[in-house]
Amino acid sequence: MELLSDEGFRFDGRRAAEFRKIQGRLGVFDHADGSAILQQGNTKVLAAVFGPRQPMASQHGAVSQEKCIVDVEYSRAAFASAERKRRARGDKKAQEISLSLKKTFEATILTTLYPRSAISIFVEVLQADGGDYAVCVNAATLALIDAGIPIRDVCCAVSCGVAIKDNVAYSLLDLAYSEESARIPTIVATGMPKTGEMVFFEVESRLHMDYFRAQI
Amino acid sequence: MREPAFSKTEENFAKSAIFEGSRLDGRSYLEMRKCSIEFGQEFGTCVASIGNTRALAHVSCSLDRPSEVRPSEGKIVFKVELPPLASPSFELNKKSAFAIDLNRLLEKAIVQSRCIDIEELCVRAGEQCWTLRVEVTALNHEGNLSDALCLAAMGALMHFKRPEVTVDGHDVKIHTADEKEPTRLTLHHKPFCVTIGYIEDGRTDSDGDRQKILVLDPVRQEEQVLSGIISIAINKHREICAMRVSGNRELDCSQILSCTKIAAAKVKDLQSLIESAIKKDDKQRKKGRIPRVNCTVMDSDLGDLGDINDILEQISNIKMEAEPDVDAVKEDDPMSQDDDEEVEEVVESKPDVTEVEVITPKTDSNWSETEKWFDTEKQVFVKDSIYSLFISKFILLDYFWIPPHQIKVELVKLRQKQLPRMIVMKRKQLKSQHQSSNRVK
Repeated sequence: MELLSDEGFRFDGRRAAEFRKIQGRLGVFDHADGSAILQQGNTKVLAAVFGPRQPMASQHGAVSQEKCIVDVEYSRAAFASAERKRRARGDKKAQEISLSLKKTFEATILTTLYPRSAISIFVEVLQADGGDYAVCVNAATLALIDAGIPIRDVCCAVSCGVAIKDNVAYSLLDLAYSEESARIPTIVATGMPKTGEMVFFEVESRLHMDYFRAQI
Repeated sequence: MREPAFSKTEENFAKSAIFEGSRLDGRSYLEMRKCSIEFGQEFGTCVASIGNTRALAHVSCSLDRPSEVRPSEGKIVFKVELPPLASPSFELNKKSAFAIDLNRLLEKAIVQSRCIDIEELCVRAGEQCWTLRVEVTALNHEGNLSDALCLAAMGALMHFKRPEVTVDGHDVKIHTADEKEPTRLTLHHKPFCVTIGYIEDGRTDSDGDRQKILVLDPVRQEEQVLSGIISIAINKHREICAMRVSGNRELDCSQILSCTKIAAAKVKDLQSLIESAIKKDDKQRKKGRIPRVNCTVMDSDLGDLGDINDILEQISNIKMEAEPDVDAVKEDDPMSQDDDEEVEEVVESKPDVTEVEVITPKTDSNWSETEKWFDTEKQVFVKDSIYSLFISKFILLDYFWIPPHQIKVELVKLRQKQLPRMIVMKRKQLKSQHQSSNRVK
């Protein structure tokens, strides 16, 4: 399956640096302090935010006098991928993503404003068609905005793959599932547009340094 | 158990040490601690240390069925363990976030970056393939654990030799080291992990914009005060295999690029270090300083357990010579009749799980792990005195060099009596007289 045709089109007719259609809605839940549902192409993610509120009994160990605890729980619905896969809650992959999201949002939210409290973010992937980590970050940011929690900047993420054609590296933004499974090197970058800084960065597969420079 | 709390004074001291340009141990910003590699007697065992941080990696192989989705490729199982001996903050329950993070990072760097040629691990497409098990254990955590674990894993992979196989129609024959020299793994590239910490400069602010100081190879105390770390797994060809930036503060794009440059430079040193260590080890083996070992192939179904019977007979002979008193007690035992019955059930194909209630103290052994590998046949011995079983166990350990994770002595409640029981799981050895070849000088 060719990632990039000679005319510069990807398999779904997009250009190399073109995003999929983004649709979102805020305030989908009544009882959550903030919620959002975000759809990028076929990837659909639902995020809900509760907080700041009193930390639950299980979080007593982590209660801090200076900042609030940010707790993120990521889960993937069983019907999210092409085959129905029922994953346990504490799955390794899910835990890794929860941890990365937690670190990202700990940096984004102004935690020093709410000492001794907790903010919980729940992210659920309803339909996964590539780039679900990035869409999760975006959905969670929207939910935080809906909840009115002060944040440093609007934190957004994009997944980007590298296709090498004729010795020139093209970055394919916003990968779809079929492109992701082609095992090309992928970068997921999370950043704040105003300051242009990266909060989180992850690279899989081999990516030559020079091409990497171009991606940034 | 938590680590002792990090006091404010220590924090301030660590920070100011970094700001002043000399770190806690006097290194410069981009200087790494002393790295060293050691190899064990068996192929595929490696201990790597960066300063005081140590990690141990072990690679083993076994023959298995390949997965249906990829029938012409072998399999790699990668496992990272952080036992409590490495740091008081590690607990046996492996699910801590830190452990999972390290696990995924190393898995990405080594397995997913396809550094090992897994098509070479296929023996017969769709039927048999090699499964490599890479187990990395942290021995001491004094900062920068991910680098040490990666170094140990790569060292073990580069050192490992797997036995040669010949496929003859339907039979697959594994050769011993005497027939055919075992081969090293083919590694396409060698990724190494370099960790750089960054901290906001607390001194000069120009327009409130804080500079980030990059600190290579942070020590444990420094890790507590850093604003974040960036771990890059990169190989000699300057290809990035995995990267993770995580922390409380953001990092600029240009700084990420400079980190990658630093990492690329360091990787060359690391790779040459391991390569020279392997050459030295090879030389020593040629000279005969290190005794020849056979590569053991772990097999899920056991070979022939007849040997164990002989071994135990020999043990009882040895015991009789050594401790005649114990035997006298045995003969006078009123329960000896029942014991004869039980002793008859020497070779059990499966332990009687329904009747038996095992009374064992809760120890933190990975017995269940081992059981999963050898779940078909075990040999169970029920004797009268637990003392004699322990003697047998020590003889098996010491004289016959059967590894301790394959022997278990426990108390078993069988038919309203508490009886001691010993289970020995035998691993298929390529040479049945493995002990004679290992006893050198």
